[in-house]
Amino acid sequence: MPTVTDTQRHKLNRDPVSDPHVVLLEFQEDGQSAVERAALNNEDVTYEGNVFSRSDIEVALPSTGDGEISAQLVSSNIDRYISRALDRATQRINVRIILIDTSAPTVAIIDTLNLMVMPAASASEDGSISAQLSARAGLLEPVPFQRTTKAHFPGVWLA
Amino acid sequence: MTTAIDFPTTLMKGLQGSLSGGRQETWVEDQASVGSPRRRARFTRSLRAYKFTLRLTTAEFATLETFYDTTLENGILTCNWVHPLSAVSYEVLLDGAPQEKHLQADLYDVSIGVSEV
Repeated sequence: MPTVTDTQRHKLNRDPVSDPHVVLLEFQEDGQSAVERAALNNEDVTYEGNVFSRSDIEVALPSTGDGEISAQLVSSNIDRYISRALDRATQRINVRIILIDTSAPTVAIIDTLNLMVMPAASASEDGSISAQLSARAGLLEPVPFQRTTKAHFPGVWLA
Repeated sequence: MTTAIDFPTTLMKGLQGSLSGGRQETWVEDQASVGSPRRRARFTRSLRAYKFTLRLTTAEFATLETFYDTTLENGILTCNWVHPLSAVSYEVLLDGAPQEKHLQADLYDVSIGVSEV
């Protein structure tokens, strides 16, 4: 986890925020080296030498309840970076959320590492992917974990 | 992103003062029922979007449609478009297929929108 300085925190909380703070997402299947990267921005963002593709992703914040806490993520599937990860995956997909200040993009303010997982996802023919985003090791996760893969429905995520 | 496709400069005529548009904002804003809105920087880049109308002959209109259908593969690909006043080149997506309005024999007003990528 990054160590956030007082200066960074004050800047993030200041009103108005004059430098965009951009959320970066990494999707990586368990045990695989390939990583799909997305930035919630209108141009590509480079962080730690990796290019995060501009993308359109909406995240519905989690609600408190008696079930597993999870957020809902709806992503454009036009460039199919999430669907590529989903289509290839046979194991759990880990999600890393990073928040950076674009005026000092070498230092992360938030970095979850691979502590988030995407336990369920669904594709829509309008070119979007909806996915559940949960903390790792949720008790509701099936054991052993089984994901819908292209072996079940070939190409389903590439719609 | 780069592209080797150029918007046909010979068609950029007869604008009739129709060019409108400009830069899009990089911030998000709330709307309070009282008081002034507040803003926060949201994006790192300010993109441009324009709309304009070209007065074209039938042959020129056919050229434009061929450009859209074939060269841009029905609007999927981007192209370089030169702003007629500033002469600055932008890589753009066409907002959609050109929309025509027939004026008289061999003359059309064709509406086009472009958005920088």
